[in-house]
Amino acid sequence: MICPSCDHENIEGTDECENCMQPLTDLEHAAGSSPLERSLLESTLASLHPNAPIFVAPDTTVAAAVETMASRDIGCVIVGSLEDVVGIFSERDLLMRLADRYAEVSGQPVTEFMTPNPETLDVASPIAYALNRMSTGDFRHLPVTSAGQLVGIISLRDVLGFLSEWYPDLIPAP
Amino acid sequence: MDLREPLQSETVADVGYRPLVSIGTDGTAAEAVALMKLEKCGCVVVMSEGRMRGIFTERDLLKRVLHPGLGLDTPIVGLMSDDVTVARVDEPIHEVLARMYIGRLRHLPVLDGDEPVGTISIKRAIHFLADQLPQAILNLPPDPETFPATREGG
Repeated sequence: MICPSCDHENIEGTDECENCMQPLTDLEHAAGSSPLERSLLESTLASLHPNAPIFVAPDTTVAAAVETMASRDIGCVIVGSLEDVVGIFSERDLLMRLADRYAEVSGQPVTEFMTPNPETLDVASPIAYALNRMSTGDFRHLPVTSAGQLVGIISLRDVLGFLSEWYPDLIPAP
Repeated sequence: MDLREPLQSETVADVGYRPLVSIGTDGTAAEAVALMKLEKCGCVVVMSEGRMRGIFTERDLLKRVLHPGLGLDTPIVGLMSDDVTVARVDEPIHEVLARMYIGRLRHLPVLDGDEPVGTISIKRAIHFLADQLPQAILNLPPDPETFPATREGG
């Protein structure tokens, strides 16, 4: 049984992870339930095929970030680089933080309006974690990392894609 | 727990939706932005004479106002989408999710008969479905990040 916290492979039936002491009993219980639930726990974020992140540098202006989001047709940009994610700037930030004074602030750096240090999930995390984060946290994009490097972004739409694969008759793919 | 049953049997009304946030066809982008900020919602429905005439979303704000550099005094009728994909209050949630998936839409106005009564978001629907799953699945572990990624001392 693979520990969801640290990926350590434990002997089946172990009560807690031998490596990080995280209890595994609930996981075992959950893993014994429906195929969908097993898939949520066993399929990783990699299987959602996270979209490649689009980066802007920290000194990018708000106007240039808006240009990138509009021309690439994306809802958010990552501020920083592959190794150094400084923040995330989304349509929601545009609306809540600057839309009503856009002319005034469009020349200012995007770092002043972004959400700094966004929560990330490792690409090897189960889909269940992303589902949990997205439905409890107030965000629709989740940066995905591998070995500390940003490898992609998953959105609520990707979760919908997962449901579509499970129930293609109910939610057909486009 | 499987989600087939709730996807088919739960309606938009069961899942819940945000009460209507609307502006008149004589409104401006500034009014829409103020309302969306106040209500913390991603879209407003544009109404006149009790009927829905269009929808204006965060996406429209980005692509039709800020990006082209239009002023916030621009009339909303020139900025909204008037070919609106809708959800009906009594239809099963999977129908709504299917429309959102195909149309790449995050919000749909909810109609009760001809009357707009609110909006439903992909987030609301996904949250509802997540709530159907046993908590054991979603809450484990509380925070994977707080645990070491490698064997300690290794």
